[in-house]
Amino acid sequence: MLYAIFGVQTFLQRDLELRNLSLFNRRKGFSYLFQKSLLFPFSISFFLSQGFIYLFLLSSRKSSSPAAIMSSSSPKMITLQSSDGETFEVEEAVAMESRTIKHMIEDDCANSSIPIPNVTSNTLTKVIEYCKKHVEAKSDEEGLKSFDAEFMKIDKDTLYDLLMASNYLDIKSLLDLGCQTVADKIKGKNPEEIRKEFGIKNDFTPEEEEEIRKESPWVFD
Amino acid sequence: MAEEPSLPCQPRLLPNPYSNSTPYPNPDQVFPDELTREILLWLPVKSLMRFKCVSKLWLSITLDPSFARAYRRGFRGLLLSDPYFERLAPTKDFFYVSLDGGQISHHLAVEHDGGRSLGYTEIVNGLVCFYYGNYSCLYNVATRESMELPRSEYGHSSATYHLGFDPVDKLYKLLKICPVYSDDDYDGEDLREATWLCNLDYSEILTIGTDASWRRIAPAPREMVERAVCLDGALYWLENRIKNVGGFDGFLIAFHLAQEKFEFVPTPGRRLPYRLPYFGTRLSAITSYPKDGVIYSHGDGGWRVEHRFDMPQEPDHEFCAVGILPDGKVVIYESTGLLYFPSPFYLYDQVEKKLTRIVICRSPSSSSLEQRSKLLFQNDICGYLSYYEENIIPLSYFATPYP
Repeated sequence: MLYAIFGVQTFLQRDLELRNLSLFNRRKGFSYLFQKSLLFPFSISFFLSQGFIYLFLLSSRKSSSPAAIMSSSSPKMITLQSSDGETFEVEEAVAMESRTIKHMIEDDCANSSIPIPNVTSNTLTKVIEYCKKHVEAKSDEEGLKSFDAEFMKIDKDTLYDLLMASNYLDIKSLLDLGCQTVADKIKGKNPEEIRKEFGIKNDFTPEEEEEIRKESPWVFD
Repeated sequence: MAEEPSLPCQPRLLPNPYSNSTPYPNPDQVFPDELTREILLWLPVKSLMRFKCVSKLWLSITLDPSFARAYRRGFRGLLLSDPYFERLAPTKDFFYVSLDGGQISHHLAVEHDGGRSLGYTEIVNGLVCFYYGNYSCLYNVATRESMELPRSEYGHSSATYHLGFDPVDKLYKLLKICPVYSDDDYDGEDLREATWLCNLDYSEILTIGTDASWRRIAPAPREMVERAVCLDGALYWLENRIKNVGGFDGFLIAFHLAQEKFEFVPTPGRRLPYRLPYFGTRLSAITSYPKDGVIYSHGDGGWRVEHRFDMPQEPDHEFCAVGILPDGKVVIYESTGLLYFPSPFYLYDQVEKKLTRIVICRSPSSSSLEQRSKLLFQNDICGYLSYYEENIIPLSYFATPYP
């Protein structure tokens, strides 16, 4: 379009020059100068309008690019939806703590709200609280340690739900923290208590179980 | 789920790990299988062994070698044990020292039948071999599991075994030094008396888990009675000789586990007594004479000075550096010749140049150890000192396939 304007302008200029020539041929002197002086502001105005049109096009192109939005100061928010329909708005950096969500964002499929069908709103609130703290206080090791210790002072059901959620959402640090807490709680138990705790069915025959127990008698003291 | 028609890709639900997997055999099960495995990785060894009988799944997880390799929660620290030469006792006592508290973690006594006292090899990656004559067995210190290894023809009681690990092929090899005595009736306790009668024609080697029988290889340059240090795929012994003119001249005897060959490596020189650390990550030599400690490390066929530090100074006390931990700290021992309790050890941090003292407390049954520690060795720790990490690999991993 720019070139079109330029083309029209040169055409008009040439046209004017040709006319000037014919004028020049017919009458010299003042009328010729008068024509020339008229030409000058005419071409100037053309150049100026060209410039304005160019700037206008440039700015309109810029504003339609999504990159301009990202470089602005406010962080991008991601919407998460729990299994019971509640929505949570979190900063993108916080949501990216979950590798599962991170892959979704990177594949550019996360423009609308992300459903998390296996996690209830209570658990999701806790998960978001954890991720937020770990993004905010990333370099503060001592602070994070005490936060983690406090964070894990929860009842068993919440702990198990949190563990399942962190496994599903692939948040390694929360998964490790949860597994460590569960391991510390169960390490002193005997096998029967473990089966009851985790709803595990004993698929050994009594003879098989006795065989295994006999291998390491020292662990049962 | 609402989607905008202008999106270029197919919107999809988050992957649901439960929808495609086989349904739980038991719907009451709280955790899926992979989460169970994650929890088990955080248990201490004793609990892990106890929970083997919970269900077939739990048993299969603990017996999986990749689980053993991923396991990181085992004890890490120093391990002290009885002196080699003490063969009278039927039990072997291992004392553990955790490095943060300096306390004995627990005391393990290893019993075996036959009543005969067994010798034991170097402790490599938490595994050790007990032996006598042509009997040998592999033992995992953490899980206390033992497995007998094939026997060879050479059955003389003066055979010494040495365990090494080749990190390139990830194989454990057992080297057997077979001295042949012209005086075959000699069966005394002090092997040093018998050396001048000894001939070495061959050595034998067994690749644990692969070889069904022992193989003969080139003989060792001398009888290797003392334990080696296993570093970087080779076994090293130190030969310190006092020169007549004064000063020391020593060399190292190396056995490369991959090539299965012996080699001589000169020490850094300069007529100083060098010490081969009992443990480390690569071959080093340490001098602590007269006042400052120097660590030399070996690479590209030569030695170079890696670090200089000040040894602790105390009147009437001698200190010697005995090993380098994986994090680079140097373990220093007060060498008055006796391993007594509380034993003073020092940890020297090369980076921060700080010396901290750790103390091993008295164990309940250390009285017998005190008796035995009357055997003194010049500038040496009475007993075997090693850096130890618990390894839960099941010994079934090393079972030889049928020929």
